[in-house]
Amino acid sequence: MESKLIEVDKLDPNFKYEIARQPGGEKILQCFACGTCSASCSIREIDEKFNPRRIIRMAVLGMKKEVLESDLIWLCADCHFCYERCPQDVRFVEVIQAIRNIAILQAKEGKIKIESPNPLFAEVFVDSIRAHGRVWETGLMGKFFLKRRDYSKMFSYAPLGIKMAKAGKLAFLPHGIKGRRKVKEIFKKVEKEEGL
Amino acid sequence: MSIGYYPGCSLHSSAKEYDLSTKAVFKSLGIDLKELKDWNCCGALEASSLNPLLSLALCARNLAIAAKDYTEIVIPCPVCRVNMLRVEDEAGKHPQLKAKLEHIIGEKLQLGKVAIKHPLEIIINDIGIDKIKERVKKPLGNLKVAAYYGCLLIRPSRITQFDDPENPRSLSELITVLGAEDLNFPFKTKCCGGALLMTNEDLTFEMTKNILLSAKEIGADCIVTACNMCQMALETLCIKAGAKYNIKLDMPVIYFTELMGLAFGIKDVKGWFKKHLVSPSLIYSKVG
Amino acid sequence: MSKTGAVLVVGAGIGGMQAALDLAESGFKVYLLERQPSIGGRMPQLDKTFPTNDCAMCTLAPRLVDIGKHPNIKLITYAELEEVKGDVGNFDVKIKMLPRYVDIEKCVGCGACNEKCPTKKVLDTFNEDVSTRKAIYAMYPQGIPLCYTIDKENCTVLAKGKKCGVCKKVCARDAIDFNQQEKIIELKVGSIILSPGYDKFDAKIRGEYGYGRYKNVVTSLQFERILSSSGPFRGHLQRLSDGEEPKRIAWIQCVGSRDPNKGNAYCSAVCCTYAVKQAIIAKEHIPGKLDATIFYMDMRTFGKGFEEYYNRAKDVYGVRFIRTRVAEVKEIGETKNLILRYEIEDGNKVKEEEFDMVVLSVGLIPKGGTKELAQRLGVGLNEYGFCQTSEFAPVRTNKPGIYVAGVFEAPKDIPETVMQGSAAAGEAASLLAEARGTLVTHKEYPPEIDVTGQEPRIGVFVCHCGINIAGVVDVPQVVEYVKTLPNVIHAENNLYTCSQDTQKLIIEKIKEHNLNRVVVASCTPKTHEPLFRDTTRLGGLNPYLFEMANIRDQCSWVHQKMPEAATQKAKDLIRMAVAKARLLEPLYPKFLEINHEALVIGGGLAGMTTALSLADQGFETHLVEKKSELGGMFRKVKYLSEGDDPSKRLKELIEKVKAHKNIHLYLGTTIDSVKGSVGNFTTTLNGGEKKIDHGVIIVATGASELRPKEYLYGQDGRVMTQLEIEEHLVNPQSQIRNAKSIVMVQCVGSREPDRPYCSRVCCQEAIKNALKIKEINPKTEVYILYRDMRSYGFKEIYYQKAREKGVIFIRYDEDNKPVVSAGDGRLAVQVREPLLDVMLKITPDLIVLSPAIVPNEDNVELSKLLKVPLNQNGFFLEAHMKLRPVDFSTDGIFLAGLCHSPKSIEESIAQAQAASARAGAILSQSHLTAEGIISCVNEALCRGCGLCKETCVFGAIELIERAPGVLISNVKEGLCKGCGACSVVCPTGAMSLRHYTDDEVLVMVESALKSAAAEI
Repeated sequence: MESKLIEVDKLDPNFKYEIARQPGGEKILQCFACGTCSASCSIREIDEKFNPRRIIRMAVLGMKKEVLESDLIWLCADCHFCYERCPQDVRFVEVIQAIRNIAILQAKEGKIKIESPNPLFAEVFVDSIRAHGRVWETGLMGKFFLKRRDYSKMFSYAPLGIKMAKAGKLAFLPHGIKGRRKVKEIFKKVEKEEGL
Repeated sequence: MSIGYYPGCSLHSSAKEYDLSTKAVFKSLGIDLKELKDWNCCGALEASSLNPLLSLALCARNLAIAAKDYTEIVIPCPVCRVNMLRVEDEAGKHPQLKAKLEHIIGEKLQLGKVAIKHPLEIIINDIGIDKIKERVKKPLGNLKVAAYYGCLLIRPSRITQFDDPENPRSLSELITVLGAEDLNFPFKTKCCGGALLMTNEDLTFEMTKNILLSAKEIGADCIVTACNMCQMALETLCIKAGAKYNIKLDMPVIYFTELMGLAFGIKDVKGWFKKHLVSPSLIYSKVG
Repeated sequence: MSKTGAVLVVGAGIGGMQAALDLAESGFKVYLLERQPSIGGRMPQLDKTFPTNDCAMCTLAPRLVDIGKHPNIKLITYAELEEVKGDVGNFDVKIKMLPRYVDIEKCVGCGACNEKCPTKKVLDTFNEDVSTRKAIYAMYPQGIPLCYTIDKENCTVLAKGKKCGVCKKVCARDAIDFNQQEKIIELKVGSIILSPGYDKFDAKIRGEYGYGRYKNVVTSLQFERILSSSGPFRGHLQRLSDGEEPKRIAWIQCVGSRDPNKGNAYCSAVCCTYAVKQAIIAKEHIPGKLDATIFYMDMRTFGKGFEEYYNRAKDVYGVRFIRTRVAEVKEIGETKNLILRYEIEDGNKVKEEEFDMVVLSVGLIPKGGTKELAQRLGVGLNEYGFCQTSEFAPVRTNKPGIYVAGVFEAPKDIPETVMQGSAAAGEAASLLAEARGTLVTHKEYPPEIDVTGQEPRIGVFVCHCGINIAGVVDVPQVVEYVKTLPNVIHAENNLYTCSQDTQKLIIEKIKEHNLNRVVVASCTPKTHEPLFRDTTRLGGLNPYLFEMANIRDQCSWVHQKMPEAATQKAKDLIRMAVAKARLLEPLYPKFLEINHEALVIGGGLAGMTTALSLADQGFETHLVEKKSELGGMFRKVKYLSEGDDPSKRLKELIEKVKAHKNIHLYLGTTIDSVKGSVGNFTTTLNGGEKKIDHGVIIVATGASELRPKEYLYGQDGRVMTQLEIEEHLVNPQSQIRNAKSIVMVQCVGSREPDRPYCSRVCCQEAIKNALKIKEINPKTEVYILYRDMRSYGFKEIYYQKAREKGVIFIRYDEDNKPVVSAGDGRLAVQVREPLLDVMLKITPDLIVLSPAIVPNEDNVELSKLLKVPLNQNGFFLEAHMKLRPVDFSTDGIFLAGLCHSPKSIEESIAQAQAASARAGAILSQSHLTAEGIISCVNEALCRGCGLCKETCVFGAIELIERAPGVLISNVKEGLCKGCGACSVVCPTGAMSLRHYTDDEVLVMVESALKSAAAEI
């Protein structure tokens, strides 16, 4: 079977440098494609589509849009096996964070579209911190499922919710910390620094 | 002797029993855990997904608070602990970042002043396994335990600096000294996928299912863990396994601090066990 | 103040030994210091060596013996360098002698103490902890000096203060001394050579491979011991968990190498080829039933003959090569088998595969303690803890008078270590030239016993060679048989007849039994005959009263599956040798005057370096270059990765050569003929215009870059070679400055069926130029299309740097090469990207090819003139790939630089300096001793037909007029090589070869046929 033809002229050679400039992305260029990350990956064991080596390779070759719009970049579970074992110390866990950060910025600018639910969850999660200083688990889960309009998922958590409530683990109201304003200040300053 | 205590959000809610058992066990070892004043969320794994600087800044505030009163803090949640340690590492290496973080939180950072430890680390490295042995009142005779380390307790080892990232031994040492049987658990360092529980449930459940089935296969009475995220992910599947896979999975997943409480003869254990979604009460009958 | 004519060599591995021998031969006193109880270093631990699969011990043993008995070498073993004061030319050295608790003067190495020692469970470090030894031990059977040592930590008396002392009780020589203390000795030396060797990377650091947890995961050095016939399993390949023969073995490459995360950033340079070797040898151990798989990232078989070796492993032996880095090894509880988890390059799946045994190819790290050693000496180290040297002075440390050799300089293999050993000796010899011969002693032999008219009294020594022979041949049975042969007065078997203690024993037996003939039945006379002849001489006999039977190479090795027949054949071979021995006669070699000048052929980097080094040693040197200017290929090198300026260096070098009073330069000069032999050559230049007399020849004729025929080279000006773009990069024009992208193609003309070798330097050259392009314009995208990146040693750091700068590396297969085209004015390259399984189309502004380095065409003619061989690729072939990398097998002729094989600048320089040391060892002699085995003429039978003269390829025969009109043959003794061709063609039987006379040969044939007759 003939392999697909990719014209390098149409790729973005700067993508690799862009990632390398992001915090955590610095070491992407160290990669010599040995495959240790892919064979160590906990997610890859379950979902073969997720392939860290290929993600890095596509990024290095400049396949920017394909990488940033892929649902796969949101799948890393932070197990750090690749991070430990990578001989070149590429730190894929951090590289993928850097790629995600670029994706979010690009999505904000309307340059790409993200289908994955993960950034939304992260946003809801972080919003909870912004509001209360700490995470209000009950509230953020509700908000996430509602925003996704994923009612069946929400209902599937009902038995768990009941059990948690019985165990006294479910907070029906958020607990705001005293330094809430300080935390809000942090958000503001970070936004100013980075453009969240 | 008192040490600063950063529980993190989940120990105040979904991992209440971890919070209670940690404090009780440390108290029985003569260490008072004093909760940091008005701490905030570390940002978990979500803040860094959006913006790594936010994650660092949130943790920096906590570290600044800790540095006012303590030279040592204990963080039972491995996610929170790694996040805090990352601030020390990154800001330590990049003075510009340190300055930026100080500007954001409006306070000075005293890097290196506060030792950031996991309770298991204090028990194994500082208190020592021999001291623990002296404390055991009720050796856990017949209990067969699968020690489960997961990820962020031991990886990335460059940051965590605790135990072996590929072949950890600390929980096993502890379990053995408490008198229980430490099983050879092939999944001890595997990932539970907890980070993706809310967004990619199917993936997480495949991962937790493998872990739980393996523990069952080796004949474990329970899984012992040192991570609230793992505990949550494993228990969640136990509850949902019936609906999801039409199988029964009721493996108790308890914290190492609870196991210590049991062996130390701490009365509150019953109360902690009640908070579990999968009841560990069978452990009682096993231990006697 | 005058300089001291002595040198201290620190570390007696193969590099240190080479330096010691070269210096000792050149007239310097050598102190050879070794931290271990015995010399030898790492090589004795190895089973076989690549790429010839020679037995390491067999090639090494004679050298150990040479060292052990050299009158100019003083061995100082089990000792450390304590302090160095003074300066170049005159160092005051303090050495700390560690207590062995055994008196080295008294111990004869009988081993009685070891046999009775009750402490048995000490891990045997020589066997890499695969087995145990006792508290009193000898490192290995052939170790020199053969003296036992008590290991203090484990001895019941020394460590626990208990009353044991069994060793003391059983020692017949009263050699045990529990009260021995550390002792400081002081020496004066003019120079110091550091060759402390290496340690291996601690594989436990890469915990995912389970070393230390899983019994059947072993390091590569452990595997050598497992394979070795003198190892703990006597050469039976087995697993450590259960002693079973493995059916599937996996090698994991780069354990601790190319790993800045947890190991070392550099490449250890030797692991790929040693893994290939181990896989081949393992397959030979378990023929047809072993699956050998090597997991690698880049196969770095870059050395001479290595690529062909790799191909043979694949194609002939069926070794599997899988390109990946294994992620994890898991053990199966019940079977102790191992599961490897990996993902192949273009695979979509992660694979898990089961093996019975895993070998970790652990990297090389600086020897423990070298950091402190360097500090004590003020010697600078690089960031990895290896000795800091520079490209143009590869064996010089930053301290004048202190040199380095071997892995301490950088990871390297045996031949390169040997070259550096010689090179360091050359440097020291130049430095101390004025003090040569001031501190040496001459070897004393006992007076020779006149055996004329004596009935033959023959002693026969039959070697086990570990299990090399004894594993097949029933040696004790053979010995019993030999005792029944007529005239055999004494016969015995030895574990290693070549070991130094056996030499002593042979001498004793000669005296004890008044032997007048000695026969050794062991391995090949090619390596061992000189040793045994010398021993025979030391026993008071003429050295030619010795005869050898090769019952290893010609018997046990080739009849491994037929032990009974092999035993019979061994008897036959020895009977033949004994038959000949009865007729042996003493021969007396001639002493020849020698000419002390040198001829260096080739005025490139290697030739100039050799010439300068020889001239500095004080020898008149004739440097002949066919071109009208000096410099060779080196002229085309414009800049270097390390930053040094090659053009400036070239200029300096040429000026030095031209100004040196001992160098005679002949530019635009060719060689017509070379006559004579070692010590006395005469060479005619430029059509007889000039004649030079000289004692040695160094061939340094270089090589050249291939003119490619593919990839539009020569058809499109935008396609050029690496050397061509290098020229442009010095002063980049807009074509380069504004290039959007540049594609480089590696292995153009190398590693192909027609030219199977790897050109070694092209990967580093491409990286160097790619980095330069990025430096000129970081926006230029550089794509390097490669088959394996072979940036060995510290060059790996530049590979890393190139990636860091954004250079993109794309791998291609030999059978799926990139396609270059130039449609509508644009260059285009199509190449398959294996990781994504896509075709990439790149449209570069320039294409740079990395062509093969090819041997000079006139090598063929020169090889005929000098009567030295070329290898199948047209490069000159050295005498021995491991231990004699700069010698030809013809005495007095040496080689250096690219004419030997492709190599880098520092490697060329090291080899050139080595050649000068080797040549200097000859030139510094007052006379040479010619072979005793030469042809002679029975004048009564000679009719002067001249057939012998026509036949002799060495020009050693002339016809002289004995009386008017009466011609007879005459043998020129210095030139005769003893080949015997003349005696074969002689129609009258007038010509015969001494030591191989008709009588001596026929009696062997008769003896052989006797047995055949008996069988019928």
